[in-house]
This record gives sequence, structure tokens and C-alpha cells, in this order.
Amino acid sequence: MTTDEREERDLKAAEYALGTLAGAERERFERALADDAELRDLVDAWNRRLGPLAEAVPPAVPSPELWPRIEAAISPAPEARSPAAALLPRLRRWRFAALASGALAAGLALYIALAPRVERTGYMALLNDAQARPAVAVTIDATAARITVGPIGALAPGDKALELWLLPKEGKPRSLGVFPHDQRLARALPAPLAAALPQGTALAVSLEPPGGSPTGLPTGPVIYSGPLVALAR
Amino acid sequence: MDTPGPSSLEALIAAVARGRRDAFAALYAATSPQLFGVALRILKRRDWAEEALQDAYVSVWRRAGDYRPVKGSVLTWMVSIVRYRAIDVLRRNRMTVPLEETPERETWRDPGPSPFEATLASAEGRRLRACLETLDDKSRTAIMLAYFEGLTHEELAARLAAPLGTVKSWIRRALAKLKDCLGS
Repeated sequence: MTTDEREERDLKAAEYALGTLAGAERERFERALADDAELRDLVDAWNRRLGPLAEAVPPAVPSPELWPRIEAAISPAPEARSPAAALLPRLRRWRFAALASGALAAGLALYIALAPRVERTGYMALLNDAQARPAVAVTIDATAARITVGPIGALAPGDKALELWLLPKEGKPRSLGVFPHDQRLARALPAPLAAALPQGTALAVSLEPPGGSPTGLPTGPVIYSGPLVALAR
Repeated sequence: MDTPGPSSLEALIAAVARGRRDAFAALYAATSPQLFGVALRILKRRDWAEEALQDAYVSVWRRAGDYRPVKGSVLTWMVSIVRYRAIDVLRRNRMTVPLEETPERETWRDPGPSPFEATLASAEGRRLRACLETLDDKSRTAIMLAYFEGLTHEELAARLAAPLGTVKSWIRRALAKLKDCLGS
């Protein structure tokens, strides 16, 4: 391969990574990628060069329905179907039968319209340190009112305690309690805190005196934080 | 307080590659806001952006074993997967919905001509920013529009009111210059 040909390949890889190739040209390039490991390396190098641009994009939170769709898409078997999903075909049959009777159909339509569209039954957050390394994974089962705090890379806090906080859209942080840095902890979530979850935007961990903040608000530095992601079932 | 432990996104992606669903859920929680931001920036519509994000995460689940640090950080690798999926969705829909008539366009904060100025904070980001600043305005605008809006050469030519060939050569010159400047 001549230097010019090499350069041409690299520029084509760059255009593909940038996204400017269109239509037949893009398809042709993707077909070539499939059996050309060196070309894939060129594209990877361009993805790496241009990747930091994504830092300029403001984050946005996808709807809570998205995670269950992804989970379903990677499920090998449909065993993870929720009772509601299992009911749906039956509901459809009922609805079909009910169409024969106007009054019943109207009642059912009303029932369907009134049913909450999204039931946010779970929350999840991964808290990172200042270098964006994951430190603590938190999962909350809102239905069972249980919170699980799993330290996956939390440092020993020395003579301090790690305290977890719920940061609402507005107002003061709410304590979710202290937790150990070296083992998974599951405990009940008091009802007022469970009720505050839909307003939560993020979780954070601060360093506090042993036993937790004496004031009910963070007093020490916040060392880990991450967005709170709502999940639907 | 010394060893960070198996704490990086790399450890998470390695666990995902072994089929660990809990690690995948944690990875989603940690990365979905950033990745959704990228998809939404390109696609403007939440429904399209969620479609792209779903495809991207399914792809991450299947291809987690392909990740190598030489491809950049885990987040950079995932961002590129999301961008390809978003561009697929964009091109597919644009065949039926012309650019100007895209309905329910999401209002988003237009970061202005230099969205990278304040926000490329990582070491790699600062390096890229310094290199972008060495480009002339037209080339830089073309690169940014392509990256953030997912525009093709033809669409860029229309947007920048310049001949197709000229736009192509701006982009190629800019890319070659960026590569030199970044030194790798």
C-alpha cells in the first residue's frame, strides 16, 4: 500500500467516525470494516481522538421505561415477564369480548385510562469519585421499601463514617444513613424517604463523624456522587 | 486510603463481559445520562434518542468483551457506539422526514459556536480543545456540526452554503490537522 493509499484509508476512517459518510458510501465502508481488522483499528483511534467532544453535551435522563426495555432485549428467555405483562394478552381478550357490550367497554376503557402509565418501582445510582471511578452502587426497591448499598470501590474512611444522601430537585439533602465501606448493606427504607424518591435527582456520600452527621445535613466533604435513575417494571 | 480497588468503569465492563447483569445495571446507571445526552443532541426527539440508546446498550451488552483500553476510556467507547446508532436512526428517519420538518423537535440549549470551550474538562478534552482552536473557523464549525448534529457531507454543504467539494476538503484538512496536533 502506498503512503497515499494509507492516508486515504485513514481519512475515510476519520469521516466514518465523525459521521459524515452517508448512504451507499457509509454502507460500503461498514462492509469493508467487517473483515478488515486494521481498518477497525483506524476507526477506533478516531473514536478515541474525537470522543472527548461528547463531554460538551449536557447529560439528559432517559425515561424510566427504557431500562426494562433494554433488560428485556438482552433476556435469553421471556421468564422475566412481569405479572402485568403476562396479564396483557388476557386483558386484550377481555377487551375484545367487552366490545360486544357498550357499557362494559366504556368501563374498561376508563379503567385503562386511569391506570398509571408508569409505575416507578425502582431506583438505581452509581456513585463515582472525583476521578469518575465507580465507588458505590445503590439500588432501591421502592415497592418493598428496601435500599441496598454496595460499596464497589469505596475507600476506608479512617475515623470517619460514610453517609449517604438523597439530593432532591429542591430543598435540603435527606440522609439515607451511614454504611460500611467494605460490605454490602441492605435495610428498610422509612416511608417518608421512599416518598421523597420521585423528587430525587442524585445520591451523594459525605464524610461525617462516627455515627453520622450530628446536624442532619452533610457537614463533611462530598466524596462520591451520581445521578439517581428511576426504573419501571 | 490508598488502593481504589476494582473500581473503574473498566472493571464494570469486564464484569459485563462475563455476563454479570448487576454490573450492566450499574453501568447503565452510571453512563445513561451522558449517553442519552449525546443521542438527544443528534436526534432532538426523545423517542428516537431512546431507540438509539436501547440499541446501543444491547450492543454494549453483547460486545463488552471487545472493549480494550486502547480504544479509549469505556465512556468514549460507549459514546462512539451510541453515535453510530443515533446516526443510523437519524438517516433512516430523515429518508421519510425532511430535516426542516422534523416534528416535536426537542428544545435544547444551543451551546453556541464553541460548546467545547467551557466543558471539555478532562485531560484528553483539554488537549482536543487546544487542537480545535488551531483550526480555522469554517473547518472547526464543520467538524462540530458533523459531530453534534450528525450531518452528512451534503447536509453540511447546504448548512454552510458552500460547495460539496469545498466542505469535504475543509473536513479532511481539519481531521488531518487534528491528528497531527493530537500526536497519535
